[in-house]
Amino acid sequence: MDFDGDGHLDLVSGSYDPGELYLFRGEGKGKFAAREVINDKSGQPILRVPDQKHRVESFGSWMALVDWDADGDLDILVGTYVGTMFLRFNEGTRTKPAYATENVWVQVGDKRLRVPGDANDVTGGSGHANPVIADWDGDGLWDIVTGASNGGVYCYRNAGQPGKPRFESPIALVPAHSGDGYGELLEADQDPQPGIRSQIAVTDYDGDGKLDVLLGDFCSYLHIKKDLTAEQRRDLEKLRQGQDDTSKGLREAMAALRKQFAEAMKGVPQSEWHTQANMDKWQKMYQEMQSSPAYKAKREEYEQFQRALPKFVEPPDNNRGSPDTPHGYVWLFRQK
Amino acid sequence: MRCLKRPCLVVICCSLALPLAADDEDPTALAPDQVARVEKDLFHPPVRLTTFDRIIDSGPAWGHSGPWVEDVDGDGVKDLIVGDFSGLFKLYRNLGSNEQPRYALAVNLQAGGVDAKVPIY
Repeated sequence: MDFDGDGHLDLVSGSYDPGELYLFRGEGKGKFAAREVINDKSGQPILRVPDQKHRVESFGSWMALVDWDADGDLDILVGTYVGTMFLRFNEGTRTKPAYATENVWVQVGDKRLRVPGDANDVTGGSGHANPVIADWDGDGLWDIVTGASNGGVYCYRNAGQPGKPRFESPIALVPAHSGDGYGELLEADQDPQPGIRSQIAVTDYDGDGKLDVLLGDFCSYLHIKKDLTAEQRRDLEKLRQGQDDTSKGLREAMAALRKQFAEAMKGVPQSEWHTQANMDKWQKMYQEMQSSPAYKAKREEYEQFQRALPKFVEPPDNNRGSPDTPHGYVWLFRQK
Repeated sequence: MRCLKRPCLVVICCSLALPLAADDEDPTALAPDQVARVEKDLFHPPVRLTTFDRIIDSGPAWGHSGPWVEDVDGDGVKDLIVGDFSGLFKLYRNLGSNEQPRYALAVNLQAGGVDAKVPIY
């Protein structure tokens, strides 16, 4: 993307922590200048929480450039860790951008956009909005296509007018991944499937005139030993079921804790949630949960499952101390 | 990279961040969007991109591949750039054509004379 209209390809990127946006200015022929933070017109980094008190508040960002209001310059669209998206309008020019200091949230109807999640996930399962701009349906208006934490790819069709986009409910182009993405079992002769946290590019990859999707993912696998007996397979299945239940229990405990914290913060503006006093309150609640007998028992149970797994799975090809092997593939979804 | 070893620990790690995540309304209280419909039979079965001799895999950097295609080196064909959890960007030069890419082994994209990198943790 040519960020500043100087005719050179630039590289832009979001980040996990602290969620700032970055620019590597292109100098031509594959050369790029050192990284710089993309700031708004007041000189402040473009963040999900502009007046954040703690750096983790804006954790996770993915950016795209689009002429949202059809005024001839490029505005910044940012996907967030929690699955929402906001805009920073360019109040400057194509070659000298000056970004607004306020976030404008992207809506679907009268509701703030939040990418689809996994309804079965006790944490809400929505997040990792990483928007790209493409005219997916070929109607002459650009649409938002996005990956998500659940591994799906979604198209928010733009049913508005040039300069006045209006988005419909999302269409799933790629369905959500069916597992949780961690420690998934894989037979020796089994190919993996696209995983979670899809990060995408939309392009006519094969030059056939139709848009395709490149999907980057994450998934970690446990590679089942080839020579397991039927009895060992049954034991493994039982072990996994127990592990899944325990893992779910731990996630539920965390979800309950977050709810409890939100209740404790009732009436407190969110911008004040991260003061030292409130952070201390959160830490205290978190430590109390961790030291509760019920939580400790679940943790111990989970650790036992982890210790038992190596009997059934191949050793990982790394020394992380965990039996699973992480992967991050790039999948080509070529449109028919 | 800390504590990203096991599912429950990841959940805990992420959850620690969540109470700290603030919009002007609680984003975690905002329901995810409902899917209007699921496209069927839209794509050929997905395949993993490869270099000459192997499947592209950012696993050693804890995955999270983030792909993009652009003609980075200005030779007229689109190259593949893949970000990952190391914060680095792998550049796979396209030695084939736009229609039939053939990717060279990865090199780290350079910026300002060093590896281009963004913060992860």
